[in-house]
Amino acid sequence: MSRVSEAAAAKLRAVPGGGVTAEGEALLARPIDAAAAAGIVGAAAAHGVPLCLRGRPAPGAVLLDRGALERVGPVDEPSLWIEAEAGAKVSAVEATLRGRGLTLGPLPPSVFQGDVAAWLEGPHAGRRAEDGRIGSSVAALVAALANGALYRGKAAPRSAAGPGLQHLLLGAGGVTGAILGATLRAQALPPRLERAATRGAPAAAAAWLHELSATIRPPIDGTVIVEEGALVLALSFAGDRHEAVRRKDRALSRAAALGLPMVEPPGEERRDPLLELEVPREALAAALTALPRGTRAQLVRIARESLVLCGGPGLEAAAGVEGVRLLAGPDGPGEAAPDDPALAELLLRIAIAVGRQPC
Amino acid sequence: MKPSLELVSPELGPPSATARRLVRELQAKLPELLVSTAAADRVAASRDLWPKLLLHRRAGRVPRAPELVVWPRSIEEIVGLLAFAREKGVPVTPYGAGSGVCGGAIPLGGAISLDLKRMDRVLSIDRATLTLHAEAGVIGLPLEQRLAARGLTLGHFPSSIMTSTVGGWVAARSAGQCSARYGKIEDMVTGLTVVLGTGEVVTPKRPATGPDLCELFLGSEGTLGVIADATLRLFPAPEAQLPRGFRFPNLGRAIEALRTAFRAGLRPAVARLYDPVDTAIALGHAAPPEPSDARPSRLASLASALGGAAKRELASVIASPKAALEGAAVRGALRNISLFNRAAGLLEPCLLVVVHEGIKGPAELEAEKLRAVCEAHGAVDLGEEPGRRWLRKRYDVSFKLPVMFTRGAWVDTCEVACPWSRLEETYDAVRRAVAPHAFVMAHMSHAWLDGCSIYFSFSGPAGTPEEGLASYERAWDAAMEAVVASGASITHHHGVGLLRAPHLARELSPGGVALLHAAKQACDPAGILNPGKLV
Repeated sequence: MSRVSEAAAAKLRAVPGGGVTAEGEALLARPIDAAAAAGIVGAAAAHGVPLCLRGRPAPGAVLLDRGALERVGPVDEPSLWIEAEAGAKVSAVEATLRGRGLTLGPLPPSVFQGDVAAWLEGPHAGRRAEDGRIGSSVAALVAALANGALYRGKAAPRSAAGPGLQHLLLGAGGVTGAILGATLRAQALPPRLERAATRGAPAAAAAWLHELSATIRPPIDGTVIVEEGALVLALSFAGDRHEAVRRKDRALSRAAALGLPMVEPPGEERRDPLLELEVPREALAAALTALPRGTRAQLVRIARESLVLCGGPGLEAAAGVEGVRLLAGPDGPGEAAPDDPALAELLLRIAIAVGRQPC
Repeated sequence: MKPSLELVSPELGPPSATARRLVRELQAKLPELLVSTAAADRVAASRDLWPKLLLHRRAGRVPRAPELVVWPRSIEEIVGLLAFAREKGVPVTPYGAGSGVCGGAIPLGGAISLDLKRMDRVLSIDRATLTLHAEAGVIGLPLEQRLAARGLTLGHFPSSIMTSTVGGWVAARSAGQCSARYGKIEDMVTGLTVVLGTGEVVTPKRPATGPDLCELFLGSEGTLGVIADATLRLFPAPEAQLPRGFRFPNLGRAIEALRTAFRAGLRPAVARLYDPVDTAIALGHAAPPEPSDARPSRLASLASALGGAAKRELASVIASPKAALEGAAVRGALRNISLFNRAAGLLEPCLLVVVHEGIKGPAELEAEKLRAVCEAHGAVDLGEEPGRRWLRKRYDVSFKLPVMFTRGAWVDTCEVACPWSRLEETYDAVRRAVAPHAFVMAHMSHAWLDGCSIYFSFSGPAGTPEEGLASYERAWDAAMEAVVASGASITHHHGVGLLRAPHLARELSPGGVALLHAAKQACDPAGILNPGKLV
């Protein structure tokens, strides 16, 4: 396609608050609020104009820039909810919460580097360390569906009013619609974090992680360091003073039963991760065994179904283990789409049924 | 056009010519499939436990029965049946054990009822990964007993556990009594096998990246696909179970205690906070003021200001609300609904029942912490007995409700979900809205970090079925209006079915309705699955 037709461009420019400007042979829309954003998406769909959500727009397309949707708050303190628009930086949301003794909880570092839309639409959705469920972080979404209809999910602690429709948008890469805002779930900052570390064989470390990931409250994050002939695994346990200590002590007693002696927890060292790998539990022992000496990685998802490791170049060795998936590499995060082709096709059918235009 | 509930005479004639033809053609295609047109099978599949149906039954009307009932025993048979249904344009309504209370499993439009109870195999119990793989028709109680024999638990104990299935739990987003510790069914699912209306078989799991499409089928109420099996997470069976009860001076302080406890990370398996009326019924008397409080109760003052029958009836309720509401006095009480709701509003003390479970030491520590939180909010520790009594009677209530229909009353329950910040407001709004039409009480169960379910019980007069149906409709409409206006969710775990269908669009927003229709179009473009429900 060459450029956006004059008629379509006129309709897009006529959207109140749409903030449409020319961008070469494409258009850039920087709407001022959710209604304007939905208006842009709807006008684009009505006139067959492909809509892009990030990157450089192709000629003839319109890029929906959500940067002006950056409001954070209000905070519903009793319910531990905070509202945030799609363009707000996740770090700004976290800063607002920290000022009130709250936090979004354990999330991968890559989430904090981006905005709310990048987090919720992107491939980070299931990478919440504590339970690996995006639902623990999102009470409701506001989104413009591909046909321009405004979706306003109802924020509730739980609901049985039909399917979890917001999960057609979370982690979907914008295929079904553009996320414009969210009611995010926060939690009280743990008054205490207790760290426990062990040193031993990778297989025993994997068994320890298996057990802990199946507990009611698993560790909230972890660090893996490969030393000569052994693997150091450090895990963090949250709670009040007694609870955190109790969790740590119980975890260490289970480690001892698995032949993993306790060691001094290593110092914190945060590096920009280069790789993120999803390791299913059946591949964990092999993946940990494959890591070369000197590898240091963070555990950013400790769920029963799988764990996510992020870190530096040493992780490449685990990427070849059967069952391990590369989620993000040096070139950035991978596709936000279901891994299963049948489910990816189903999602696409839903997107087309709701008016998706190709980009 | 979507089919709607069709009420007919209870006399069921012989199978229609259409049904006989369908059976012949179906058996030619799927000779191993169990099929029935017997009256008993069709009647059993024509309804669930929606209380409104009891009023219709009293009036001599029942839902139209399905043309036939089938019992597939494999995924292949489900696929074959759906292919047949698409070819013939016949609707199919999946059916579990029929314990739903919203009419979700009532087959509409002359449907085939697809009963999943023959798919009842436990495919695996994996101790290493602590997961269970079970077919959709597995019934809750025997499953939990089987797990208990292995030192495991699913942690899912709905009050319907004897008459509900794994597939039904998933399809309706069920919650069990121990949800605070183990979560709702959506928290337990790690994978599903679903046969879409198109005949495709999909196996969504809980991913680390991409959308979580298990969530598309959780709560889909048989409209998008047939849930064939589920993989669910397990836990070690609890080593200790520590029941307890606390009496609070009023509901507000009790709610604040519950919220504080959950924010502090306490997760008693059971936490049920009864409002003052439900407390009076649970304790068997209107809880008296503290001994140090010499003032006559506000309730007694109201009773003394009344005259005649109303005074006597109110006095009997004060003396023994449980006996009055369960006994012959119920009709008298329901003649004065507004008065009794007003009187109920004057009650104050409320009961919190908790059960801590898990490893003994940590459970004891948690119990101590919760006691401290409760006492800091003015509660009196009532010891173990309230919790023990609740454990003894935990599944009884479902069997008591139908009795009320024989005493000139109707009863129904309405569970909604709201954040802590709007819990009292929603509770008050629903009580006010329903008060002219039905007697109202509630308990708060299923507490979460960000809010709680309110489980209302309504009871209205039904001297005649038509009187009952009229007050039933008024009460439900008023309740749903109040819930929507207060921003709460219209259902926490009973689902939508036919009962809440008129209120779903406002819950979902226009965009949500569009998304639901898109999902239907993608999963079941022929529209054969459970038509007339949800979408």
